[in-house]
Amino acid sequence: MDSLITTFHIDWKIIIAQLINFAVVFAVLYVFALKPLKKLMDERSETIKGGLDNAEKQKELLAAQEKEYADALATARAEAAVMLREAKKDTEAYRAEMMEKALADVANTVANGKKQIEADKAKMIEDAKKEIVAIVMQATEKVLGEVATGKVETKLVEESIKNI
Amino acid sequence: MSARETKELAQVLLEMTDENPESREEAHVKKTLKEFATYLKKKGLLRKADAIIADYRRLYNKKHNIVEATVTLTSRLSEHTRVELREALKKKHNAREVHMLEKVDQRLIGGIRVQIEDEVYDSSIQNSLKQLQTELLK
Repeated sequence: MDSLITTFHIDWKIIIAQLINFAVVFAVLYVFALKPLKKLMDERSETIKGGLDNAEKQKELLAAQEKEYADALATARAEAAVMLREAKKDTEAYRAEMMEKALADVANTVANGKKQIEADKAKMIEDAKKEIVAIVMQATEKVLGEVATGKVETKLVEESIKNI
Repeated sequence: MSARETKELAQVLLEMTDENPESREEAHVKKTLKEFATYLKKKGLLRKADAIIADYRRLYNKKHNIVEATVTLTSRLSEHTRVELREALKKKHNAREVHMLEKVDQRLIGGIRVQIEDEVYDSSIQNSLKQLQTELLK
């Protein structure tokens, strides 16, 4: 053992001193270099992992929103189709009702017109009749007024007295 | 005051003035009328005097079988025709006497119109024309 030490010029003191030096250097490196570097690396890894998680979440959210949008779109389309059908039905019913009403109005107007014409005609005939009768009465009155004088008048009175 | 009460008053007046020969004497009639008028005034019935007098006339005429006729013509009646009419009315109404009020109305055109109370005998040309007009307008 001693020969070996002598052969290789091993000096325990130097080795111990070098060990201490190495320990000091290692401690300094560890504290001032390795530790911050490890911390930095960990933080970096955390950031990357968080980013990846976030991206995954965003992807899932996007997929869910896309599905929700597609569902809403499908529902809206279905509702719109139903509404369109209903509106079409309503429009047709309204059109039919309006047509019926218009026809009834026309029929009513025609009937009223006929009635009015009949009434006007009757009134015209009645007025004409009244007028003719009035003219006849006036003429008769005048003629009788001229005739019923003197002896004729006396005769009329006498005849009337006989009939009392 | 109702028409019935007016008639009752007229009846009372008639009994007071036409009950017997004494009551028909002019002095008695005048006195009775004065008392009757005083009574009406006292009772506040003077405004009904015309209606009472009209009822009195009707009652008096009925009692004495007198007919009052309003005769309307286009000219005055001749005496001969007047007598004929009076006799005809006497006969028709079985009347003792006929009092005639004559009216002239040219609107009658011809013929005669006789009114006795509510009864009307109208043989005027005006009436005949009216009837003819009514028939023609039917």
